[in-house]
Amino acid sequence: MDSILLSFESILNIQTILILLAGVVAGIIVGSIPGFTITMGVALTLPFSFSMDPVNGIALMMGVQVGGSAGGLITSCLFGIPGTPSSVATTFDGYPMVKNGEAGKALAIGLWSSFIGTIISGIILIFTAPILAEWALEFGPWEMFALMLFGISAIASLSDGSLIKGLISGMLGILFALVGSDPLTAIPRFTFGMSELMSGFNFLPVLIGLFAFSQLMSDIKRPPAPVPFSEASNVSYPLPKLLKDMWSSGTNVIRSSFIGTLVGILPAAGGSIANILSYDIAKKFSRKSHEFGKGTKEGIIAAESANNSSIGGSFVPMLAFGIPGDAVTAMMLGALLIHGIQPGPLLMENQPVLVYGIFISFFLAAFLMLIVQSLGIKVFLKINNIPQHVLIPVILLLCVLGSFAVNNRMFDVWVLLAFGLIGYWMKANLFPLAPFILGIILGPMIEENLRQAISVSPDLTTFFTRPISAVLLVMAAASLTYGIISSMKQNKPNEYEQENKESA
Amino acid sequence: MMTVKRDAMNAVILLAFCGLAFYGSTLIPERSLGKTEGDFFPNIIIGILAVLSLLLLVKSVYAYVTSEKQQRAEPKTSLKERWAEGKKVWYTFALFGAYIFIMPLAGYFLSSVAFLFTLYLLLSSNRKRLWLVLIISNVVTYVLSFIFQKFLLVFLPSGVLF
Repeated sequence: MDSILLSFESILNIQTILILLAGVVAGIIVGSIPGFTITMGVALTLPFSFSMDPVNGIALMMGVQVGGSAGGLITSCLFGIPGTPSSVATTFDGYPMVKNGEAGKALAIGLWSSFIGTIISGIILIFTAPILAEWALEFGPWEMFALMLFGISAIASLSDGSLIKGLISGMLGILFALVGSDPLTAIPRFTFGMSELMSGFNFLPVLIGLFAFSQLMSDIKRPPAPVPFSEASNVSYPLPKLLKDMWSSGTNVIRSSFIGTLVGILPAAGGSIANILSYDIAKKFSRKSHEFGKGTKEGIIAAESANNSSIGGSFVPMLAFGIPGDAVTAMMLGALLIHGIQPGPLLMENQPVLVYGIFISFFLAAFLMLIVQSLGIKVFLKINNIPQHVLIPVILLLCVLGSFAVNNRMFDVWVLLAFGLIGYWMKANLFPLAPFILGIILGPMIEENLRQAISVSPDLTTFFTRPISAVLLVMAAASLTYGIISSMKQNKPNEYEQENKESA
Repeated sequence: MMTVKRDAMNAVILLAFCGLAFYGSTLIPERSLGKTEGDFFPNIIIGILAVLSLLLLVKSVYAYVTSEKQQRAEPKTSLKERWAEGKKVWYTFALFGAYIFIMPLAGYFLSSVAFLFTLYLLLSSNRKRLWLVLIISNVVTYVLSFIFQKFLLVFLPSGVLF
């Protein structure tokens, strides 16, 4: 109880609320600009979180994530252009509803669905994460190794593109994470005589390079469609009508929020999958399925409550096991590591104030998102109108400053450029980035657990004789098998033709 | 078909990278401090990466061989066309490289204003009111340096030439 009170004290102060507010505003802006992703937004806030205390740092990043997920609905509804990949299904009914002259209704329903989805997933997070963390306390190095292996294999199988490329991406991430001193013997590895590499690559320039820099380069190569702006757009909707609409769709909201949270808990399956899956399920369950795609509120509710609720879900494995479920939680994990906090099952026991602080700031971010987006919709639309050739140079400068700020040295800015090039090469050749980042974060932990397990018992069969470890390894194998089968299905028409279409 | 060829090339690049990484792992000294040496885990990862790269190579070559002649004879995108499509990206990379090379010499402020202004010229076809772009470049550079130096206590390079 004391921890909860202390957490409230650490969150409910002007400084943290302002930081959270800044994060939400930044998130909505990033989310509403087509071509910019939430991951990129979170990567850009990393340098700022670095100088804050851990609660404030995580609050800032969480604000960006929650705000970004809701911000994506603005352009999805008004212009039929998804602001983020996690708002694709929002366009299916949001845009037709706007074309029917109900812009205010579409935006209000989308926003309230996002809000309710976030709250429901937050409640599930509060109840699930501590239980799983307590269970995970019994894990030894065998189980932790198997769990991380499952995380990497699942993200490689479920990511976009081919399974082989997903796995290559993960292995590359692990390999780059091994640069620097050996954690057990302190022997330098892959440093090639460079003293700057003794402590390995810093997470920050690597993450900014991979997600922000490479994304900007892709936007330069293929600029996203310009967003039209209309001053006359009527974006207001009376609250009583809105509440009535939401009440009559209560089942859909709750169901979609549960689907989103469950999808979020699974490694790799984030907001984009939740958004489409929930829309599809809502359509199948609806008595008026023929209205889907023509501007029904049910479609918007299903899509928006699911993509926002997946955020709460993605926090469950991070807080319970110390395993990130997606690229954004991987960054948050990286931020905690930078602050010297080791995420994992012991986090709840050792840092209860921080964990409850994360829970509270999650709810607070949802409320701020609701208020900010309701009041500032017209301002966000104007910001959306800033051309890319003005935004890109400024964001690149921000990338440089963020990378330099880590250690006050130019070497990290060169690392940013190097990983920007790697990220661009990977994106251009359809290698998914999420497994790479998971590899970077999990690589050292996988190695440590594997070598610890071997030190205790050199017999490798122990991995299969311990029940939890065996189940997790079977799950890793199952996810790989799933990846192989879906790859083979894709191959039938011609996978390469498909890929060509995607890359075009 | 272009993706197939590119994948084959990517696989070869990855195999070369594995070779380099393996060479790097042979430089790791053995200390016999535990049951596993420092190169134990890296070698496993390099091995898996090499196998996966080989699989990618085999898969792309197989896709090329089994593709119909007609598909192979499809009009190819010329190097010139591909360069025209991606040249702004490579110019930006080069400009960025030059910027971070010059920054320790010319200092943060001067190099950043020059970078912002040049990159704007590269990305935009609009050549009107360039004086405004220059003013905005100065303001953005100053505001960001103020935030980082004042609030985040980051001391940006002042340069050695000026």
